Amino acid sequence: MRPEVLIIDDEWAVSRAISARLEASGFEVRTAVNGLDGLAAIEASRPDAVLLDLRMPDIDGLEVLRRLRADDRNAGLPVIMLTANVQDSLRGEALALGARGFFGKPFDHHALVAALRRATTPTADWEGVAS
Amino acid sequence: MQAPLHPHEFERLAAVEETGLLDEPVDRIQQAAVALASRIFDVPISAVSLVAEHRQWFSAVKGLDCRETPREQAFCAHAILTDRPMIVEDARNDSRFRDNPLVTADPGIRFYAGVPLLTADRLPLGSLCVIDRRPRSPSPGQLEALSTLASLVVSQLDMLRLNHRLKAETARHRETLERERGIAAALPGAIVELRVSEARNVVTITHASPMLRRLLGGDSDPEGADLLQLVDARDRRRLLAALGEPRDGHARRSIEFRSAEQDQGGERWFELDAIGRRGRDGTLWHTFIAETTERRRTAREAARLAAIVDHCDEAILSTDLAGRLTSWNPAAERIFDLPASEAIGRSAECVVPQERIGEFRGALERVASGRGSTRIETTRLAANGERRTVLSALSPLRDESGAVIGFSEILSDVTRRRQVETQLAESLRVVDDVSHEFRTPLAVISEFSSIIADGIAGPVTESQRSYLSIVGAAVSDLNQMVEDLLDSSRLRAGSLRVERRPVGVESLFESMRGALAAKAKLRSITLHESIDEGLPQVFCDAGKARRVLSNLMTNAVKFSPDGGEVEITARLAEGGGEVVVGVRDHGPGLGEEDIGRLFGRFEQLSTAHRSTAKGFGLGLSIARELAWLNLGGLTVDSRKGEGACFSFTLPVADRRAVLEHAAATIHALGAESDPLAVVAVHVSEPDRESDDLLLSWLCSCSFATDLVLPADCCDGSGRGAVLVGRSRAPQAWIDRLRRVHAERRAEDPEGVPGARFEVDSIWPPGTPPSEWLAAMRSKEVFHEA
Repeated sequence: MRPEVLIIDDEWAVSRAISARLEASGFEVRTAVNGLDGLAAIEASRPDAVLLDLRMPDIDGLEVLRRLRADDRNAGLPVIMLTANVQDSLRGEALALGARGFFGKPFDHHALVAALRRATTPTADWEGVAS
Repeated sequence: MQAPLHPHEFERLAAVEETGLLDEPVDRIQQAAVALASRIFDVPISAVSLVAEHRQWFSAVKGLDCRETPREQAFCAHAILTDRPMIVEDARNDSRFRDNPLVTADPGIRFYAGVPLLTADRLPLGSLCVIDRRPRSPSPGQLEALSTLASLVVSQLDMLRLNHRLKAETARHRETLERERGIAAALPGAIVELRVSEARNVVTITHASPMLRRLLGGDSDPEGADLLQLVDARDRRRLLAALGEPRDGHARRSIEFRSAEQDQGGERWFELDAIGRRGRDGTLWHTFIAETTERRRTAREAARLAAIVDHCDEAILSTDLAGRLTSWNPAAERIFDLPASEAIGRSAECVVPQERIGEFRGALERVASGRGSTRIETTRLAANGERRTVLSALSPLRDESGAVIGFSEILSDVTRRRQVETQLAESLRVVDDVSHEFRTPLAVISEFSSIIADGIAGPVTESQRSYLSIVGAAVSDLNQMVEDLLDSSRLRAGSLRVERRPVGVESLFESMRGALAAKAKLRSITLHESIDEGLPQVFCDAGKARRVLSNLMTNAVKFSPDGGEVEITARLAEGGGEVVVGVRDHGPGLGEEDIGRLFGRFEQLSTAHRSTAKGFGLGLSIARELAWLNLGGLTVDSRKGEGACFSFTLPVADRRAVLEHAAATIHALGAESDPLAVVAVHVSEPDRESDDLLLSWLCSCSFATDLVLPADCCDGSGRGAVLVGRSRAPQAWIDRLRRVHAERRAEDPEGVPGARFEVDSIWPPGTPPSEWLAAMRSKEVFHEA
């Protein structure tokens, strides 16, 4: 069965580009256009991994991550962060909240696909996922 | 019957006292006179009786066991009232003595003859008397003899009194002398009498208190010596002229001179105050000579301090305990638009805005209660209504006993600086936002072109793939430019974080080879790499060094013809202090004029290259500034038509090399105009971890400093750091550092380790790097581990 990835990003064009790349690499992809939408999508059906944009208008990536972590059912859900600026000051906070990796835009799609493969393989070793 | 008092009783008693015979042993001369009187009259009793206030005192006596009897019983008290001898032939028949106990009882006086002892000044002190227990009638011869004896006793009494007065006078005199000598010794100078005879050009010391020798030296007793010989040769003529003959007979003069003998500390200065009057053989001067060396030094120091206070850029003011202004310097006049004449006497609160009054009073209270001084950033109100942002340092003023008598406040006006900082922060935020806005569409373009190129959207022809890779490269260049824009704005805001560490040259290249090769491949350019073997480690921020290399490479590729060649070299510079990294292209090259304009921010090359070189002025300009941040430089070597070689340098991770580069860099950054402050930062708990944390934190607040160097600069064994900063007001700069550090540490005790900031030196503007460096070295700024 193809592993399912949820992309939460308010930029539709970014979501489309990543979707195209991930579908070509053997992932099932769903998208959400903001934080609340994303949380609802996870509630409705738990994906195998989440790609989460750090800066979004309504509730930002950190808040989404915080709410996810508050729910025990999502404790093991792998979340990889996306950001426009790799030197983002929120980076440290996101990693502290248990983000599994961090990708700046424009990102290295080979590395992103590799990270997601590791994240969605049950026996995966989480070390070295950060870009 | 009691005798009345003598009309000059008071003087008479004083004269009795003056004889010094009262309560003393029997006087031997008078005793002989008494014995003679007894014999002359053939009586058993005789005496010299001095009539004192309440008694008669026998200074010589024969035939009685006592030395005194009460005055009311004394026959002599009567005898002294006349200046002739008093004769009582039988006391029982005399109404004055009939009831006298000396008559009615022992010794049973019947006969008395007494001659008053009248002094030269006609005061009767008592009498010489003879007494018998039976009535007698003395012969005139006997009485004459008694009178003669009495006159002898009087002479002796007069002599005793004279002697007594002399002694008292002498004692008083001695006492006065002692007192004067004591005063002279306690005076802070010497009392000297001088005689000047102009004909001989000599100032003779005729008298001097001992202090003179202590002040001016000299081998022996200065009296009789020439004062000029004790005076520095340069001042002799002046002194002699000052002690010239007074025109109208007397004069008052004051002159300063140096002593001939010098102290170890150098010249000693004296002041001579003189009052003179003309005499027969020249002028006699009564003078007071005191040392003024210390006073001159204090005055000079005070003048120096006053000049500093008058010319500094900080407002300096002082108040009394009630907060009324007692001083107000020119900078205060300027900053607060209030002349000193109007400020002094008013409350210091006249420049404190309403909402800061509480804060100001609180600070005064804290300082007054002896809890040291306070430093705050606050707002003040100028007389023209303008608000000024100031750094205030408030300290107590104390008197000699240490009691607080007022306050001093130093205020640096940072209004403009804060405005600039706010504007810079604002512009930085805008650039940050804009770059964020740029990145998302760039990521989309880049991602879709690579999706298409990878055939995910369907089959792709070879030329399509090639065009798509050009799109990818253009996006990557655009990204680089956004990055440059960000760096440029951070550089201007002084917020670009620089973390310099020892780094291997090879490791700088390693992670870049892929990206460099991709840039070259796009235009079929052959990339040659030649890195010398055995290069030492360099001291730099590796990220910044890679950005410089990347920008130079982008530049070289842009200017190379398709299929051309680019060489990257790394070698040790002559002298071994730095590593030179060069990027050489074989493009059109640059003329001298182009090179001059090359590095201006946003400046583009001349029209000839416009079609190909658009937009890369910024990249080179950023590369040069990043090279400077790495304590190195960026140069270009090129001639028109012969390609160009851009090189940047990195200091070798060696203390000396780093220092030299630091000095040169700071000089190039404009040390000519501002003083440099070198601050040593000591970690509270010296261990590797807090050391790293401290450096990292210091680098992150580069707003405050031009250079952050680990204390050892290179091998990682030292602890702490050295900050070098340019600042118009170094002390305020350091205070701000301390304050920011304390604040950040309060917020984040884990992330900001405890540290002590110590000013190592404040270096004056315009000092050449070599001197600056020599001083830094001599001060051991860079401590060994």
